[in-house]
Amino acid sequence: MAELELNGAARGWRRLAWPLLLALGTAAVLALAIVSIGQNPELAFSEFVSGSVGSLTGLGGTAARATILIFFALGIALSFRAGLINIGAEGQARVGAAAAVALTMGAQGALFSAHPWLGIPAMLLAGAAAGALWSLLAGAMKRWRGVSEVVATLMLNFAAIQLVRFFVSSHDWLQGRDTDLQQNELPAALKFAGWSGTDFHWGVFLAIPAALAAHVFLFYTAGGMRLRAMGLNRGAARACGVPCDALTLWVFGISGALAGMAGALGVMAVGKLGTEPAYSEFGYMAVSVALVAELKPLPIVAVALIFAAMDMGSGSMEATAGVPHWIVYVLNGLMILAMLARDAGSKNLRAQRIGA
Amino acid sequence: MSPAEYAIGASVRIGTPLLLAGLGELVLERAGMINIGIEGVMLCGAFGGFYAGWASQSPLLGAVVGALTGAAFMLIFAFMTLKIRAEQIVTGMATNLIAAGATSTAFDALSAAHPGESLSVPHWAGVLEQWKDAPVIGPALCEQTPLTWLALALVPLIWWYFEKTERGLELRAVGENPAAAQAAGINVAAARLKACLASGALCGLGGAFLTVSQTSSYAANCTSGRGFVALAAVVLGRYTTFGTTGACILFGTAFYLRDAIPTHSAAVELVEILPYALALAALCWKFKSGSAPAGLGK
Repeated sequence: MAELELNGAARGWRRLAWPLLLALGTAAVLALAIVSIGQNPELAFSEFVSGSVGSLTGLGGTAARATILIFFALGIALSFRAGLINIGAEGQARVGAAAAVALTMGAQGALFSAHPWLGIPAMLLAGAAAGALWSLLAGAMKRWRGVSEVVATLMLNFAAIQLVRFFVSSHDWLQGRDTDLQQNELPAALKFAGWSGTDFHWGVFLAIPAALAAHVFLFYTAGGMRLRAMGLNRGAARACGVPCDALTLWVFGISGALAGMAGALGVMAVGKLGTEPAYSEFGYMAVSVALVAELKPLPIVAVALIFAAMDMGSGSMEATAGVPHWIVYVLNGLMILAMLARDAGSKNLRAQRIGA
Repeated sequence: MSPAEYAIGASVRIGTPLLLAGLGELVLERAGMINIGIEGVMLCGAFGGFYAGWASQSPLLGAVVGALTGAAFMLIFAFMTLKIRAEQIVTGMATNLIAAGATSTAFDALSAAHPGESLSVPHWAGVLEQWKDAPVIGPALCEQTPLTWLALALVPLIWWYFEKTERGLELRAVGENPAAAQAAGINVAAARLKACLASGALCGLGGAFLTVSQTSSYAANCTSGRGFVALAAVVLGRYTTFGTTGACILFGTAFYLRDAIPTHSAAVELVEILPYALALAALCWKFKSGSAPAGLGK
C-alpha cells in the first residue's frame, strides 16, 4: 500500500537508499577490519580517498579501471537478463587480449604501428572476435548438448588462463622474436598514452556509448524484449515465437565480444601482455558490478566507477597505510550477498531471479 | 626407492586434497546444490588448520580445526541458499571472494604480529613409516599421513551411504527432485543443511591437508585453484563416487608429472588445462546413466 502512494521522486530516493546503506555498511566493516588488524583507520581512509578519487592519478586510474569493468558488466548483464549465467568474462577477456597482441606481431604489426588509426580498431575487433568465439564454445555446448553454461564458462576460464600463459611463455614458437612477452611491449603507436601522467586514456570514452547502446537495445528494441522474455520464462517465450536457441548463441557471442574488447583495451592501456594481466580477476568483480546495478546498463556505469575506485583506493591503502588490499575482496563478497538477500526478499525481483 | 615408486607416492599426496574436496563437492551436488566456491571453503580450512596446527603445534588438531572451519564457513552458503533462497552460483562466487579476502587479511595480520618468525606446523609423520620401504604400498600408503588414509576410506563409505542406505536415497531424492522429496515427507532444507556441513568439513579438510600435512606452512591463496579442479573432477566423474575418485587420482598424477618436468616448458600450461578440457569433453559426451542430478541448483 505505502509503496503505491510514493511519488516518483520518493521512489527514486528509496531506490537510492539501498546502495547508500550498502556504502555505509561497507565503510563500517572496513573500519572495523582495519582497527582489528591494528592499523590506523584515519590514515587508511585518507589514503583510500586520495588513491581513488582525491587526486588526478587516482581519478585517471579509477576511470581506466571502470572502463574495463563496464564492458565486462554489460556483457554479464545481457547474459543474466537472458537467463544465461555466463561467468566466463575473465577467460574471454584474456583470449581477446592475446588475439589483439597476436595481431601486432609479424608483417602486419609493422603496418599497424605505422597506421595506428587502422591498428587500434583492428586490435579491438580482433579482441572482440576472439572473445566472442571463446564464449560461443560455451554457447554451442549449451545450445546443442544442453551443458550447464555455468560449469562450461567456469572451466573455459581456467583453460583460457593457461592457454594465454602458454602463448606468452612460448611465443618464440609463434614468431621467434623475444622469449618473453612480459618484456615485449606493444609498439608505442598502438599503446594508449595516459593523459598527463595518469592512466586515463581515450579508450575510456568507448564505455559510455557502449552502456547507452546496451540500454537502448535492452529496453527499446524488439530484440531486447525477446531477450528479457527468454530470461523471465524460456518456455513461455518459446511458445510466443522467440527463437530461443538462436538467441542463446547471439547472447553468448555478444557478451563474449564485449569481454574480449575489454581485454584488448586493457592490453593497450597497460602496453604489454604478461602471464598475469594487469586487470586480472576483473571478470569476477564485474559480476558484482552487474548485480549491484540490478543488471541495468546505465547504473552499471556508476557502480563500475565505485568498484574501480575501491580497487584503486585499496592499492594505495596497502602501499602506504599497511592495510592489505585483500579486505576489498571481503567487501565485494559481502556486497554481492547483500544484493542477493535484497533481491530474494523482494517479490518483484524474485520473478526475474536468474536461473530460477 | 625407485622413481616409479616415488611417482606413485607423490601422485597420491597431490591427489589427496583433490579427492577430499571432490568428495565434498560430490556430496553437495548429489543433494542438488552446486557450490562453485569450494576453493574458498578449502582456503578457510587451510588457514584454520594452519592456525590451529601452529598455535597448538599439533598437526592432528590442525586437521580437525580445518574441517570445522570449512563446515562453519559453509554455514554462510547454507544460510544464503536454503534460508534466503539466493541463487547458488552467485552465492558461491561471493563466498569465494570473502574467503580469499578474509584468509589473506588474517594471514597478513598474523605475520605482521610475528615479524621475522617462520610460522609453521610441525611435521606430521606417516602412518606406518617403518614399512615405507615396502614395494608400491610403501610410498603409496605407508608414508602418507592419516588424512590420505581417511580420504581413501571415505570413498567406499560415501558410496555405501548413497547407494545402500535409506538416508542416502533420501539425499539423492532431494537432489533429483526437491519438490517431490518434500511432498514425500523428506525435510529438504534439513537434508541439504547436513550435506552443506559434510561438504564444508570435507573441503576444509582438503584445504587443511595442504597446510598441516603437505607443506607445514601457509601462503596467501595456497589452494591455487584446486577447488575448481575438484569441481571439474566431479563433472568428469559423472557425479558418481568412484568416478570422482578416479578423476581425482588422474588429476593428481597429471599434476605430479607437471611438477616433475625439470625446466619450465610449454607442457606445464597444457597439463594445467587437462582437468578443465576433460571435464568439458565429459559434459558434451552424453552417457546413458550417471549424469547430473536433475534438481541441481534448484
